[in-house]
Amino acid sequence: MARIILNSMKKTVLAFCLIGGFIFSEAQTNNKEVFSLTNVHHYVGPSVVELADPYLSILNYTGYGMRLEYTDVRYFNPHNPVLSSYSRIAGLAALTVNPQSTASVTYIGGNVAWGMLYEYRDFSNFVLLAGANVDFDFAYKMNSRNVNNPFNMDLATDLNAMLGVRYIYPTRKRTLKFSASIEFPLVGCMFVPYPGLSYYEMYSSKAYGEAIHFSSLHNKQGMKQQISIDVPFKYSSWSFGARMHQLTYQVGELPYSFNEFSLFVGITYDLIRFSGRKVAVPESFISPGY
Amino acid sequence: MKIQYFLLVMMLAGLSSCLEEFPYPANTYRENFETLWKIVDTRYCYLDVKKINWDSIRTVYESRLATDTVDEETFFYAMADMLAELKDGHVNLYSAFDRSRYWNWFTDHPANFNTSLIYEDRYLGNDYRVVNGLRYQRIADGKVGYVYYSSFGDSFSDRNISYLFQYFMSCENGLIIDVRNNGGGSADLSGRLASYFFERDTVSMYLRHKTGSGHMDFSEPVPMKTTANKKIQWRRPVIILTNRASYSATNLFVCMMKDAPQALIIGDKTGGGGGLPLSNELPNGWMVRFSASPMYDGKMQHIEFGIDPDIKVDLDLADVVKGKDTLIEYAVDILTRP
Repeated sequence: MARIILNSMKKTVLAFCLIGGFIFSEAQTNNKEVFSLTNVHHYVGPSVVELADPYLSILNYTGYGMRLEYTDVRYFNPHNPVLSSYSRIAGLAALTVNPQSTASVTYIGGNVAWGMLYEYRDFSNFVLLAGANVDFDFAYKMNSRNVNNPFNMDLATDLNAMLGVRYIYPTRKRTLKFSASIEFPLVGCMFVPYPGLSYYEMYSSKAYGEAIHFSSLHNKQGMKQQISIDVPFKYSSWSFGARMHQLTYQVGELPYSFNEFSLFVGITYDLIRFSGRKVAVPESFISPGY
Repeated sequence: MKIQYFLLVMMLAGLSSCLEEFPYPANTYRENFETLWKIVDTRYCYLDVKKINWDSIRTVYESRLATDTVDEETFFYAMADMLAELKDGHVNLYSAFDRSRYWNWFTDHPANFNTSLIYEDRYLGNDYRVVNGLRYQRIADGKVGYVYYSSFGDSFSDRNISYLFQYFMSCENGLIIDVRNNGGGSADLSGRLASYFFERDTVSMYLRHKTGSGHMDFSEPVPMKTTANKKIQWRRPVIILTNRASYSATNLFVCMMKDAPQALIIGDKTGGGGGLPLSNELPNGWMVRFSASPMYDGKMQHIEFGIDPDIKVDLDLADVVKGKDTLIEYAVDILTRP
């Protein structure tokens, strides 16, 4: 009799353990914290550059360069993955010559941007992106043949609009991603000295205000366009694409322009960011790159 | 609603994509001529001050274009002649085979300088010191310091000047800085050299720049301070020797030194060159340099036409025969006068 009671208790305890364990494990699954990954891109590639800078010359300069770019995207709230932060650091070095190849302009430029992107995933396999960023543009252009105006600097900050579309195309082996994006400046301010104003005068008088101008679509028009394909491998994706940047801006009657076409290859991966020794590595992730 | 926002942004993108194309001049003789004429017409700063009728000059040279464009060299020298009408040493046309220039600002006047004289034993001699373009020696029995500076293109540092002044510590009567035949160089260096002779910051020049294509479209005058060097200062008399070949940055240096507390300018009027030159290009790749920003002295007088010395002294041939430089002798005489 006692053995029967003992077996019955064993079965009851076992049943409780199984049920309790199941409930406990379900509770663990439901409470798993979703963690935002940072989707990082590194691009590098050759560029064809064409620029016109009336401060240095009335002529168009064309040449070749090398572009490096880093961007990252991360959801603000992983539980509501629609809004993500966007940041970018880019650099370009190029050597250009005038049509007669009698003088050259060395171009070194950089761009830093931070913004936000909103995602629409209502269409199957399509992701639409819209957002804005604030960027800071810097470029140093040197025409060593010139006297007293051997260089000019581009400094500008803009509020830019961004639009993009991503198509996710699953194949048998891997899921490819086709992306296209555009970006264009809306309003900002830019440093453009009138060609008669020398840096010597600005440096001596410390009067830089005259060279700072408000910019908007009326005097600054530009477009950055990019198409790319991401091919995933084991831990990262490789990107291949093309990028075009057209920019014109005008101060007084003098037109400045910058056009760049570049091909690039890059790597895309997700990055975990967390801090503290006692913080466990999160188990559930979400990345805006997918 | 989301789609509406999307369409709005797409419309803005479409608006932004209407990029305007700007025409660039073609590389023809006619376009090169037009471009050169226009650069001078819109950006050269002394057309009205020098009373140059640039429109009539265009008419003259345009009528010659048929004969002036037989080949590249003929065209170059025709354009050089057109630029020479500006009578400006800061105006040059650079091609692959020649550089046009206007030198009458000093060739039309007495030289007042003989290079071999300053290397006589009584001046620099053979054992002079030289540092970064500054040649210096004690003269007049060690009572006076003498520095010959031939180009403001030769840079120097505070350390160089510190050693130079230490070397002249025993020269109690003063210092001579000879900038004859110094055709200029860096305006920054001219300000730096002047800074050692000022006890306080002084506005000794004004600068304006073109703000439009009109001949008199200029900014308000910007005061240019000669900043006194805080660490190194020469507080004894200093005499600056000048001639007509003291030009451009040297002209600026003399303009600044006019206001230095213990300085005296001796010699001939400077050659001028008061316009800060800038460069541009023609469609055929030639470069043109021209005066773009006029500079003025402390009384808002143009310094383009030269700066008068405090004491006019010419080189005397009788002294030259004796191996003496009249200007240096005159300066020594003033400095050593009891």
